[in-house]
Amino acid sequence: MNLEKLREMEYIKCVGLLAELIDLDVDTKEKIHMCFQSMGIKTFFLHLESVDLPLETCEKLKSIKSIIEMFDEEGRHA
Amino acid sequence: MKQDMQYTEKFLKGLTNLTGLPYKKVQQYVKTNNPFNILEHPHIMEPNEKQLEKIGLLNEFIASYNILKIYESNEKVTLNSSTIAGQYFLALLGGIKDKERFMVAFLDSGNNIIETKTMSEGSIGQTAVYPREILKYALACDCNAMILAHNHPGGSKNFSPEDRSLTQRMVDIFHPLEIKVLDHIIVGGGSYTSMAERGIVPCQSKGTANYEEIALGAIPVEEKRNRFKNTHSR
Repeated sequence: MNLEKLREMEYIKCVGLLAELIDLDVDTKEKIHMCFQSMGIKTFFLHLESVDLPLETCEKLKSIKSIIEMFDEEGRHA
Repeated sequence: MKQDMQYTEKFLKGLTNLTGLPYKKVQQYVKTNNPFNILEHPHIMEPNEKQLEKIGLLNEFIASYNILKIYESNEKVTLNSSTIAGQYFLALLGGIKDKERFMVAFLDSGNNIIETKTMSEGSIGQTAVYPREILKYALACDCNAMILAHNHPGGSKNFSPEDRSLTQRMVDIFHPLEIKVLDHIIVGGGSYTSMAERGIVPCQSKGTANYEEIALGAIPVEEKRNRFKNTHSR
């Protein structure tokens, strides 16, 4: 299996987890999946504010961003 | 220092928003403890069922995010050193604290990942690895080499005699087929250990191939000893 397929499978898994975690509707889930495909997950969270998503979803994603930022920061210090 | 506090503050707010854990409680906890403990050992916060479920989902999401970061930073995922293999499996197995998972990365001749599969998963001390299943996948993807990995939910990074014996049995099966077992990674306590790094990966068959299931999860002798010492020091 090539990297593209592996990455796509992980995107599907990841967006599914997000949907369960922050209760996404089908349309928003699909939109986030497409964002992941086009820009990558790192860039998506980096530019979260510029992504066109419902306000409530955006607030919840910001909460997730604050958690992964802490992990990224910890990784840099490790 | 100030920046660290800002990160922690945002982390706690995010965590409580997503999981429903009470903010004051987590804030109190991190005054004297590492905030990551809340995700790694959620029971210390005495969460209800819903909160525990959300923490579990969050942990799985973080693991998936870490894997995607690796996928996005390389055109190909090439496990050509024990450090890269260790980091790869740390991302895949580091978030699992309540069960054991045994994984295999099947590699081509350039050590690029063809496929990474979870070969078995079970509660602590009850995971069984089925060599026949691994052989089936190895032949199906026509791999040239493989890297084994599993987590120690207890946090130990030491190789147990069972871990070494499992590796030898894999070599017994795959060496005659010219499929190399390059490494066996143990993930525990937020870090990893590599058999290749320690120079203890067997490179020759010692016996005939044995396809009987292999039990995982034995506690390394050293850890048992430490536990015994701890009991006495109380």
